[in-house]
Amino acid sequence: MKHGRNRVLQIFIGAIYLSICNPLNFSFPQQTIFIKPLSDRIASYDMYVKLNPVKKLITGEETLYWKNTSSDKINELRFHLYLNAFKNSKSTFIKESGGQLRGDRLDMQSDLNWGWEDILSMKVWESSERSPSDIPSGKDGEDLTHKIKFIHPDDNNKDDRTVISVPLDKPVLPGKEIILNIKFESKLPKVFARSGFSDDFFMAGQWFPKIGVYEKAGERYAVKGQWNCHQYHANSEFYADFGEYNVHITVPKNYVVGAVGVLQNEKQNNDGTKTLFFHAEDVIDFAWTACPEFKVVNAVWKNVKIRVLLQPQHLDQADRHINAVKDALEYFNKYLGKYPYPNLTIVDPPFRGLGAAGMEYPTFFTAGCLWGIPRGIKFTENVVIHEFGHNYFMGMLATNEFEEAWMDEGFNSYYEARIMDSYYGMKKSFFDLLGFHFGDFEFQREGYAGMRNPKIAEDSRYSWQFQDGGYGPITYDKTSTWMFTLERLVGRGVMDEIMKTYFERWKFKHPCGRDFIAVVNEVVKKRLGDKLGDNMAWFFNEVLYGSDICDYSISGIKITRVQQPTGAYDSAGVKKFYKLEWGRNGSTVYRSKVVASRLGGVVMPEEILVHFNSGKEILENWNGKDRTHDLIYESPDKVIWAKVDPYDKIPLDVNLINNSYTTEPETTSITKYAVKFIFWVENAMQAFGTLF
Amino acid sequence: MKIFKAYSQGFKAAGKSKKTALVIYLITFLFALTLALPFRGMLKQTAGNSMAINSMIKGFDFTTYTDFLRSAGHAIEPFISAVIWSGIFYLIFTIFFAGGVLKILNSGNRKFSAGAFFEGCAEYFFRYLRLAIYFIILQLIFAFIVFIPVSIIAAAAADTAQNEATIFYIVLTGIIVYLLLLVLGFTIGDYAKIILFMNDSRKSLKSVWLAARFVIKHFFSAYFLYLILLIAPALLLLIYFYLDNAVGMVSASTIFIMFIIQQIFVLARSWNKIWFTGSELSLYKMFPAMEVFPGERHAEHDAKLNNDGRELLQNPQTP
Repeated sequence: MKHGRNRVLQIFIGAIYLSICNPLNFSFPQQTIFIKPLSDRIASYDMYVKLNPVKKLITGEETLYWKNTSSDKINELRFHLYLNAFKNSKSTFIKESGGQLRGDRLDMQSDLNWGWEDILSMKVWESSERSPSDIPSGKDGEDLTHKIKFIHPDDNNKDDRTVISVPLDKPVLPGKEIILNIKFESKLPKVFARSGFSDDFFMAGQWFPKIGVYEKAGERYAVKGQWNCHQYHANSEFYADFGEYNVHITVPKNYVVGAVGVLQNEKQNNDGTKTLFFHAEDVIDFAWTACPEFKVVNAVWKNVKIRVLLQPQHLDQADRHINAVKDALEYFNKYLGKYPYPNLTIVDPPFRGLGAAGMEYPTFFTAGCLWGIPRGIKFTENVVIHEFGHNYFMGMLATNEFEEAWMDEGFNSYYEARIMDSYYGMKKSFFDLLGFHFGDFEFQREGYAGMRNPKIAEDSRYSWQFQDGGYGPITYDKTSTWMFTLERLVGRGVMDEIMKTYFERWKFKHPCGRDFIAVVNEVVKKRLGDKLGDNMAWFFNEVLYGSDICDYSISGIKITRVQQPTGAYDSAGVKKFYKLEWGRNGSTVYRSKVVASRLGGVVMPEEILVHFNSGKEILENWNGKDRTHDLIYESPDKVIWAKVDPYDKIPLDVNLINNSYTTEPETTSITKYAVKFIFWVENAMQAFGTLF
Repeated sequence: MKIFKAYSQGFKAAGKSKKTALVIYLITFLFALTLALPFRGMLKQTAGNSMAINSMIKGFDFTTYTDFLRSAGHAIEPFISAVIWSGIFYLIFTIFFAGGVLKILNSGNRKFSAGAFFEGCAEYFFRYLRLAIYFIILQLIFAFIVFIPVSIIAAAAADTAQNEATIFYIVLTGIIVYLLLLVLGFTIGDYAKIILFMNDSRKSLKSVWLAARFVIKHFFSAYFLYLILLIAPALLLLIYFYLDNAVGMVSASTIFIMFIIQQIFVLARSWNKIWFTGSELSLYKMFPAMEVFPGERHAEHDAKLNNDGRELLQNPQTP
């Protein structure tokens, strides 16, 4: 709290100084957003940047305030220079992605299309000597520029220039702060993946020299203090410390700008430009956009100001963005935790800049919509809800996307489906047009279950280690599917308690998978005792750390008559004779054998509902471990059908067709599709006939 | 106007050819049935004992559908190729029927005669088969020739467009232009059949050329008649979708009702095709005949026509 107030004062005074002394930079006092900081604000930035829309170049200067919260003396700093992922065809990102992402491809023909990030200078100030007058640039400190070297901690790709190491002559002592002044140039690439330009649309994401995370011993999986600063990968890009951002963006006057944080002021300059000052607190990143075409639509949800920057042709879809984000705000606030920020900006990229669509940053995200898209196709709502959800999953619960993407994209997909299905209908929330419909969760489950090889990889794998397109379906869809499975095993109420506990305990920190599992174990034990075992390790071993599939079936029902005892039996010294009594009313006993099978490798506790011809039903519990499990009933009633997982608690089961078996098949539905088939064939033949 | 006269004459002629339509429909149905019966057996075999399939009775269920495709997709694949092969065989049947249909239509008010119908089918089969091969090749070339420039123009225009709305309109315009040109090809194909028939010629390739000349010469009548004739099947389709939506297929009785509706729809399409041919035949007869295949007319054929005591070729200039 104290530190936060000091920083406000320092920035205020520094800004006044800058506005006088620095011809490029000028500043405005910002309003404090949170009286009490929500995070430990390890990495904070003041930035002055200017966009050259012709050269697609951002020139800038940043002052970084970085705190050493560990007990280590730190002799080295590590930074991301992520725009270098777009520098040439040998970067790790281009190699991994093949120069395309989500169907959008990098046009390598024009020099203008490449992107890079150069540090022009890097100087240091001692935090112990820090005073407001230290903040502005111009005073020489230790020059680190010549010490910068590129490192490649993930893949040893010597051509990758997305991470730098900067050795320090004088270490940063425990509890101390280092202040760096960094001058840089960021050339935006032609957008095809996340960040870049398209004509006069600019999306600046991962665009400035950004310090990595120093994990102190005991934090996440760190045994001793260490830098966690990954290269820029095709599948992941987020892991950073919380901080404060004061960013001054200079753009041509006709541009509309949106950014992370709250707009503090806008000043018109004499050279045909304007400067906008954004301030953000307790966020892990800063991104911004600029485009002269944007149409601005404002809305409010409770105390949250919503600003939508739309392409002109999408103005009639403003309500879709606003309603969806309001639904998401309402749901997350009710079922997970409070959205603490005062505002939110939604960006609608142009058609030719859709590579930047569906990207998440704190308080700011890009959606994506198309002109004329029917309202029955809720792609826009889906993207808005998903990207908003990232404010929680990685925005506030600042997990490491590189190492545990399932906690980021997977958890977020789970909430996306919950919200979509809750507001727009279980089986039609994603698509409902011309008689065809499916829900968001159905679609996610199919994304996983419909994979050519659902066993392709375990969910816990590092993001860049996924092969053959496995990252998306496993990280997003499988995680969501097993989260729904967990929810149905423990019940919605317990699941909400798990997630709320996880959020409250770990918000504005860096939780890891182990921390989440500990919360699950704690809440399940508290609410359900040993019902699901001593702990839930068995569950996570199957779904998270294992890659096998879950598939249970009822493979058959066999019914035989039980032969009544016949012959002579001694009873009290007297021989009693029994004769066959087939067919007499009430005397026939049937032996019904229901065979349940485990076809997949995953073991789940299963329920089996057995239905008899008398209408009687028995619900059996099976631990699901054996490969086959026989249920045998001898009674005058015959088993008509049996169903494993009758209440659909295990959506992780990849084949629901074989979950039930009936001895009296209902053929109406089969007849229906046979009749339809006749009609389809007739039409197909007549279509061929039109060729002559 | 000639167009509307031909339209109504074709309708009347088709009205008198109900049995022809019925024969064609029955063959279509039998073809489909031979595939549908094993298809039903496959469904029973793969999912008949599952209760999940019951969820599809009320309508489309994505999860059941996708799970079924995954578990039984291998059993469905052969049916896809079977449908394609059926289509190819059906096309050959259509070629076979074409001569019979024209013979019945051209016979005026006479009652439907299976003998005459199949005689026409057999008589014209090989020359129509040749015509069909030429026509399909020409259509492919034509489609290709039309498709490439239309696509290039559309792509170039779309490339400079700033937003997807403009691109949509450009592509839509391209598709409409392409379809309209494609209709022109089909119109020429239809008149090629008629010219071959009316002149009892065997020069299939030349008939395409003559048909093209005819259509260009009488472009407004020939082309717009085709477009007007398309209205009826389009309306039929809309009616079908309405009924499908209104009735649904959610019980044994509604499945039966929809089965009847579907079969009426298929029958109506068969009949509609006769209406097409009848109208185009009427229109052709309304114009003076072109110099077509000099010296090729078959005396035997002429004699047959004359023996019938009818002025079958009503064109006064026909030799």
